[in-house]
Amino acid sequence: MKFLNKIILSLLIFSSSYFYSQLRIEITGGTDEPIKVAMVPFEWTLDQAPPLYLHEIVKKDLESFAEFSVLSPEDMLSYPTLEEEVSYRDWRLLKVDYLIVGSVLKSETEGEVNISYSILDVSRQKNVHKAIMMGSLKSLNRIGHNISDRIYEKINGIPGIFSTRIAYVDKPSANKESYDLRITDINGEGDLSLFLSSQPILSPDWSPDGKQIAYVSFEEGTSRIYTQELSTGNRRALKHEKGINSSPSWSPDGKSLAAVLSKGGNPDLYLYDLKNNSWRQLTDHYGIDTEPDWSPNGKSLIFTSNRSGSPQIYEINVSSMRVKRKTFEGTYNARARYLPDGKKIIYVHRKKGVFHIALHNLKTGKISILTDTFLDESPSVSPNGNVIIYATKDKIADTDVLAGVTINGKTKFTLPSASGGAREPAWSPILDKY
Amino acid sequence: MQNLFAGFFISLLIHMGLVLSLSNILNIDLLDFQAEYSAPIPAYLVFEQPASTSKKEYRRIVINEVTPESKAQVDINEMVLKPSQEILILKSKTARPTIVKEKKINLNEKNRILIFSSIIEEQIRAVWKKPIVPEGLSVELVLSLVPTGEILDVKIKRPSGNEAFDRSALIAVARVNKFENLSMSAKLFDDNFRNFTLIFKP
Repeated sequence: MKFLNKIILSLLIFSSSYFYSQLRIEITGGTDEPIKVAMVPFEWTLDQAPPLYLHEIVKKDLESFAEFSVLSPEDMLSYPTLEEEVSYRDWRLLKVDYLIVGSVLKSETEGEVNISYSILDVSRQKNVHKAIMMGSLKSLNRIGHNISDRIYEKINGIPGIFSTRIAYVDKPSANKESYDLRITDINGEGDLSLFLSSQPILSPDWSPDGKQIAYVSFEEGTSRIYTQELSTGNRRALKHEKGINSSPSWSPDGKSLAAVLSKGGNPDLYLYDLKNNSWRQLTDHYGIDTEPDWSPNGKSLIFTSNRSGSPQIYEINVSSMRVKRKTFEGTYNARARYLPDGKKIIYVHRKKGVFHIALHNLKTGKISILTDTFLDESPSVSPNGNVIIYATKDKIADTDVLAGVTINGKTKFTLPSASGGAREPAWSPILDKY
Repeated sequence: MQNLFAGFFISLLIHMGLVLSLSNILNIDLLDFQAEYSAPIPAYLVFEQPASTSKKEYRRIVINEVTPESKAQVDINEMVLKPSQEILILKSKTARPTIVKEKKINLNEKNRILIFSSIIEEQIRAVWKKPIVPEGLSVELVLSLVPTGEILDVKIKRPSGNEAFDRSALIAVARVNKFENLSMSAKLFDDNFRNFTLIFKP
């Protein structure tokens, strides 16, 4: 009876809802036009000439993924450096959405500068963000990338990645004898070597604070896992076990590493406690379990296993130890990585004999192929989840290159690499914020 | 006896509910449900008799061909309309419906709300630059208009939790500033468009 009442009530409410609710209009799509940003050359009050121009760095950064169009200074109608000087009409005329004005001022300390700037919303004539920062004249380049990050975050609602770095392994080539673990800024600047070895180096992975890198090195003849501090170069070897020691993946809390050991006869997943220097077994299966990656919440790991016959992606809950298969499409799915939201993963997917990077929504099961290159390997996700970097072959030059693609598949790019032997890229977390 | 009554009453309610909900789903306006629908008038009658002598009302829509230069911001093909509104889907891509004013039109109210809603939607879509925010966000704004279409006020009714996303919606509304092509009766405007909710969902 009560159930029937509910039905009647819901029917009546349903049929009458139209008559009593306020009109609701849903907007599900927008224009494809990129957001237009203008950054007026900052006022410069120092005696010496500027070593570089911040607006040029910001323009290059913001345009790198084709998400913004940045107005060039020669197209501007006025050059305000303070919010009070802005005539919004000028900028509306130029169809600018966001305007950045600011100045670089002399500091009392030698070699230091004070930078202040504002991000303004032109349509509503409002200040979106105001910042004052201090820095050394030498680090002006990094300050520029930092301003780009701020602008990106304020406008797009996700962190900018222009201050992040990418670790990669440079393979020996014609003019180079050793394996080289290197890091570079995402714009190809500041490329430097961390560790050189005549034996292979594999699978670099960043600590969550961005201060250390874990990797596998064969310098002792067998595969061993090391961690290395970036600022000091200090290396630490993890307790070595018989057989393969590979694929380290730093846990989100930074306290442990997931890795692969074959001491039980075949490769299984283990957890390494960095404080107690001890291993704990996670999976125990006669198949191969490898390439673990932590979920952003630290509750589970995804890994590649051939337990069903072909390599597929599985997920293990670290506390319940329950294993669940995640991929069913195709006969080769490997090297999976979580996106920062934990709801999607990317992995190497073989389709018609060609290896591509696929994006897989764990909730809906939808799979999309992001790349159209050849022999795509070891994808790594940017910390804001918007860009993927992977290793691939440049067919024409027959070299190994690092290529990138935005998660919507729209923008593709190649990272400039001098040697042509770049493999296994690993994207850093968001690094020091001002 | 009591049980019989209860049964009768419940059955009455169920049927009422069914009729109301079905009419809503099938888009039948019950108040409009009169003889004119059941008895179509022969065409010659329309021309022989002056409109004033007939109590009947006609649906009539005239299509204006619009040159590409003067193409309205509204693309009629973009509108999502129910089958009963398909009379409005027009011959040409650039065509735009104008409703003949000299005769009283009997385009039911719901249809008219839908059309004007689409007109508003199109104008917002054309200027909304959606940022790359996390999936699943939505923000609700409440707009207050004056009958000329000008936006008097906009407020966030339910924020998305992402400041940049909320701002993008506010900017889109600010860029529209005034909605074009919203000429409607004062009653329709007051009942529906003086204050309404806009939901932005990427």
